[in-house]
Amino acid sequence: MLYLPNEFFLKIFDYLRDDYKSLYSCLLVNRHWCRITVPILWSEIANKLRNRKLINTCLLSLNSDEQALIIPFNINLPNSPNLLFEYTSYVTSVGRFDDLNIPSDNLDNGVINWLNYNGYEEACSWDDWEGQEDWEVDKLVIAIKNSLMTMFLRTSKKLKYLEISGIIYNNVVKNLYCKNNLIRLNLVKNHFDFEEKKALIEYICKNRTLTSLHISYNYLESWGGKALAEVLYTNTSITSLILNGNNIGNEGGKAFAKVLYMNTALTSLNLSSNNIGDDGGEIFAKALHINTTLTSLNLSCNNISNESGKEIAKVLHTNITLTSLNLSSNNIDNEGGKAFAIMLHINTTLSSLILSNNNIGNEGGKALAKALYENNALTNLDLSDNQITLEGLKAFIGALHNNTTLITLNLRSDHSWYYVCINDDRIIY
Amino acid sequence: MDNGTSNSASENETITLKSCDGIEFHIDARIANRYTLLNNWNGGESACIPNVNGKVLEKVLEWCEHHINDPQLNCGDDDSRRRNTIIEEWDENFLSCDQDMLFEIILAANYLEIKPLLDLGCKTVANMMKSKSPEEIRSAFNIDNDYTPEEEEQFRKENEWAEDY
Repeated sequence: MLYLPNEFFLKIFDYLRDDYKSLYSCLLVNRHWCRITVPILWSEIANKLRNRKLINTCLLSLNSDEQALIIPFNINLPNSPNLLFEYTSYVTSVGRFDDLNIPSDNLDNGVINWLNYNGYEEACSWDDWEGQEDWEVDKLVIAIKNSLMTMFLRTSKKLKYLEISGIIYNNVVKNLYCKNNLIRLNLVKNHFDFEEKKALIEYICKNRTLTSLHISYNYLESWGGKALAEVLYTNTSITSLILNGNNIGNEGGKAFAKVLYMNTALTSLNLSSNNIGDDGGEIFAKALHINTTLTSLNLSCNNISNESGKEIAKVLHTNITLTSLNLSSNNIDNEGGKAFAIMLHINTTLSSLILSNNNIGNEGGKALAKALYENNALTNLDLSDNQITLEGLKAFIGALHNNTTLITLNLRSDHSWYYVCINDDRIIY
Repeated sequence: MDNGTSNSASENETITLKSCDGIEFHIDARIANRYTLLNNWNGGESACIPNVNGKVLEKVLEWCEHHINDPQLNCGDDDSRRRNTIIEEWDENFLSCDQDMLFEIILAANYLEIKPLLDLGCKTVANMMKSKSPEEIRSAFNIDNDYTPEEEEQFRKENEWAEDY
């Protein structure tokens, strides 16, 4: 019978890339097919890491150093003959990247599922961890996760997307060094020590492929913020940076604002919850006079008050690149609100403005409503939790009859709850 | 009449193609214009195609003729095409031939750079493997199992996670 050359089978199996079960069958057909299917099957395991069987095979990939991290816990690691393939060398993605807002829990759950199946005392599930500091909950889970992560970093030469969360032990970051293809790196709630953080920043400094960097709640502090900002003066690949909850403070915030004078790659910057403060906000306003690449800026939860709020509103009279601004949970009152209203009369590019949880009140609210008569760029306006009452709401209803661009308007607050349907299906919350 | 393609040839123009075993086909010149390799040979009104026999060439040309008015695909969306294993009814019937012929069509489509037909052929083979056991696949494609029993068992164990999806 006629036989197709390899290149065709590669193409054929590629159609089955998302069909793990069929690929598994193909893998078991014969040695030849196995060699072609294994790299495809293992390239995208990121969303399957909660599977205990997958974790079992991954645990078989640990070398003695990595096993040593688990030995103190008296765990019987699976032992069987050497693996027939170095499967994890084909992995391109560790972590979950379908939704940035949901923390990845796959690897945690996979490890917990594996432990439970193998009869170890009840390891609590991720759901029970709510409200607790996760690193204190189960040191065993973290130790296994840590060894697996070290193994992935050692073996997965093709890694493009990597997420590391909830690691307390060290020596993970130093293994990042050989990862030259990383495009996306998410580091969430890790407890790196000073040396690790330094190594991390050095890695980012040398890397030329990363386009998306997400470092949340890693306690970078002021020095770490400044060091990272320094990197961005010369980096031309990172377009999206999320650095929320790192307490980079006023000094760190200023350093990032200054970067915006020079950097022309960054399009999205999130520095939420960093205690940047009022004069930090002011320097951002100045930077936005010069910068023409940033389209999204999030400075929520940073103790920014009226003075710098007004400056930021003012710069948007002339800045025509920013499309999304988030200043929620700051201290902006009706004066600041009015400044944003004046801006909305003039600005034609901003499409999303989030000012929730400030003190804008009815007076500021009415000014903003009035601006909507003229503005036809804004599609999303969030003014929830701003002490805007029925009086302010009425002004918005009038405005929405004249404005046809706004799609969502949020005026919800703790004390009152409105739900108004405008005649063309748009909804005010 | 003008369906938006950049074909300069009119409907009545024909070109003669000759298979490796000497069989001649008179085809609509628009087909030749549409596919790169045929187009390259479009110097005169006849062209010889080595490597493809008359039986296979006839099938390939039948497919080309049926799809002559399809919009040209841009090559950038490989990823989304890959995920899509749905095949139109006409194409499904067209390719429900014996396996040797199917493979011959794939090889010919590759040789003649008729990418949509190549994709279609590969997709058809992929669908033949879907939801089948290894044993069923072996018999469908007449493949011998060269694993030792121990080896097969180990591969099964190491990859059994994939069975859950």
